[in-house]
Amino acid sequence: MSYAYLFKYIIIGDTGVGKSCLLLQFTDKRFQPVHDLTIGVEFGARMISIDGKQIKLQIWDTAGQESFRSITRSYYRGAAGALLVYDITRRDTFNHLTTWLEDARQHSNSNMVIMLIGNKSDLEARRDVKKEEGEAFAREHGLIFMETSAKTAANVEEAFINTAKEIYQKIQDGVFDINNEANGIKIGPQHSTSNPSMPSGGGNAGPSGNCC
Amino acid sequence: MLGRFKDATLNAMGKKNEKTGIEKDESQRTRQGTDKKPEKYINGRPYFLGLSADEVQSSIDFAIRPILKPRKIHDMPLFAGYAECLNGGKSDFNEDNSYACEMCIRSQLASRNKERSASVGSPVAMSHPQHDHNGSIRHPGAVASCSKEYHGAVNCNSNLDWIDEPKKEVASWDVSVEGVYFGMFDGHAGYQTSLIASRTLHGLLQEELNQLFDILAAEKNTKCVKKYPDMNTEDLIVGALEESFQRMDHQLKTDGERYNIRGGCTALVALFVNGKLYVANAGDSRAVLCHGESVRPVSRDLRPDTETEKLRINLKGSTNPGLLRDEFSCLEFQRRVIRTDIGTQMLCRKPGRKGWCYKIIEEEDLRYPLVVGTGKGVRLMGTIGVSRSLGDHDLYIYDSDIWIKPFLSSLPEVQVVDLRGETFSEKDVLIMGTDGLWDVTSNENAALIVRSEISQSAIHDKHKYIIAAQELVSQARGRFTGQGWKKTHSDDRGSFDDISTFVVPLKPYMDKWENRDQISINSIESTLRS
Ligand SMILES: Nc1nc2c(ncn2[C@@H]2O[C@H](COP(=O)(O)OP(=O)(O)OP(=O)(O)O)[C@@H](O)[C@H]2O)c(=O)[nH]1
Ligand SMILES: [Mg+2]
Repeated sequence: MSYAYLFKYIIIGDTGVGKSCLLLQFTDKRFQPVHDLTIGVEFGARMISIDGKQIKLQIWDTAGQESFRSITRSYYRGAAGALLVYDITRRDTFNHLTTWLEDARQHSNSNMVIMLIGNKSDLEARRDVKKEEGEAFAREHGLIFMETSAKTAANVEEAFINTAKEIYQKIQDGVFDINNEANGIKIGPQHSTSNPSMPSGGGNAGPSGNCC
Repeated sequence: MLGRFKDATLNAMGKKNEKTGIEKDESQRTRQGTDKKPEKYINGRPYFLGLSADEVQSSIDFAIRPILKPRKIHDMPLFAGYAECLNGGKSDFNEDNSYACEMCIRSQLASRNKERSASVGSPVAMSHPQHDHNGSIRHPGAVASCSKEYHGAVNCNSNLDWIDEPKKEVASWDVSVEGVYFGMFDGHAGYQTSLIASRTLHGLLQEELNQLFDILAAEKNTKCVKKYPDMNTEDLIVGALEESFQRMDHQLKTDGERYNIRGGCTALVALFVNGKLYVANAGDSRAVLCHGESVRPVSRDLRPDTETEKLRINLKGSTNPGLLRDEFSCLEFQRRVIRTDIGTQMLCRKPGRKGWCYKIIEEEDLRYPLVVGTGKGVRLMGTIGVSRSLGDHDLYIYDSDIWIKPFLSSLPEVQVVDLRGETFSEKDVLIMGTDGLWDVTSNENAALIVRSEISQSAIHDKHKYIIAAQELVSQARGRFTGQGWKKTHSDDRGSFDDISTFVVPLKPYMDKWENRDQISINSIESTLRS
């Protein structure tokens, strides 16, 4: 499938916060109730559209477990966007955000767009981190923020697409050097602005046949 | 693996090098290079990675060099570990490829019956009349064996008959012999050859082994009478491996008439059958057996400078002087001969000899030696760094019609390890790797990494061998720094090559082997139930 741009994402955060579930919900529109610990890194892809342009998102889903850290770190290189995820029902996952952020800033390019995500918003009864706290953390560190549920799919599309919009804006503003592939952006092979065969609008060109 | 035929070489041959500084595949120009034949398979990775064609494309990321591993653990025989990563930019694709499967060796009669019933009962099988092999290759996950990725988009054949297996086949289960196969192929001058070999060789081997069914069944079940009491079964399996390698090489030649096939590949195969491990190697990949405290290679790296290989190559040249085209010398001297040496004495090793003797240098001794250099820098006829490979039928010396193939052998060297009567723990493994791994990892260090990863995993964690394989690749590749890829824990260079590795646990195989009578009963029962 042809696309105007390809953006590479990385999803990071503590183990069990729902990173793989967010990806699965985004690519396959499914929810996976059992925790299949990610070993190292998985990946998925999906096409979206912004401003009438087809954009392919290629997403690296990393393992949260500490023991895989040296493997997952190498995926920051060449990521244009990062989803930093915590679990609103587990305060420790929120407390670890600073460490994650430091890690991300150290290993990625400085223009990487980071989206902070408080996941599992469907579990309101077990909430341990207030929404305001997430907002405050995001404001303080210059991140975009959203609460999502990989289970009900609430805000999942938005989380991925808003990050892409931010990256797209940065390209328009000339902040990103799109010719440097280490920035996590690639210009499509057959770059065409209007492709009649593509479904238009809604920022949704359907799942791209993901695996797992 | 292929090197450019350097200026020096060409000058020595009295020819001018028109093109210099050629990179990547351009340098490996072959006779077929410009033909527009179709590809036999589109670029594909091992089926057990579970990648769609689109994902294969996405995984070609030189900035990250992602580490790929099996997505469904049940696709791997023995829950073996596997991991791979792409080179650092030296070729456009990952030119390594691999395959793993369980083999169900059965009598030819049974397979022939099966084929007949399959073609009657299954129109699906009918539509693919070109069966590569008639045995059955079985994957632990039955569905996986018929997945699209399994045989690629083109020429998808074989195995379909397995799905339609009629119930009457059940009887052959208890008289089948189970084998487990792991194959690893390191391509040069393109990904085609290693891809084809990875998808074909096991089928050829299966055919060879099926012919030995009576003998293997007798060895498995000691109560049976031996067919050839004087014949050593090991020699027959070694023979089957050798035959399958040579048939593979030949098939690549015939495939080359219809398809765009360039380059060649090394091959390393581990076959477990009847409580023994057979390691067949043609090239410079390596298998290392880690058992208890012991760590030992069970294959030899076969490069042009390997002592026995150098002897073989020079002997080939001396018995077929026409192949040397008056450009090459099959004599080995202490050092490169220069013009001022003419008339003086120098130590020389003549073809086929072990020892050295003095020779008075003549004009023709100035010719380029067949083998030059050592280690990674070694070249056969100034061109290729391996001395054995599958394919390479159209490999000529750059800008000439001097043919290299006759000097390359497609025969594997086979080592046999008898595992019976030994005790195994979960830490005992066979590590297989392409040279991308071994260039930067010692055998001992690899064993250390694997053991440490295994002991850190929970006892019953089926992923531990995958985690171990992933760690091997990760440490060999290293991390990207301002000065390129560096090893994680030191300033040493990481591997710039494609890296692939299998970590095969020995205990699950041996447990199965020890309980073989029980297993065949179980499998009959489960077949009946389904
Ligand atoms: N209720 C609810 N459960 C969720 C949600 N997202 C994930 N989960 C559950 O949380 C557990 C962990 O989800 P994963 O997506 O596997 O976690 P992960 O972040 O990928 O974990 P690692 O791979 O170990 O880093 C699973 O049991 C999911 O079913 C959510 O939005 N709501
Ligand atoms: Mg995960």
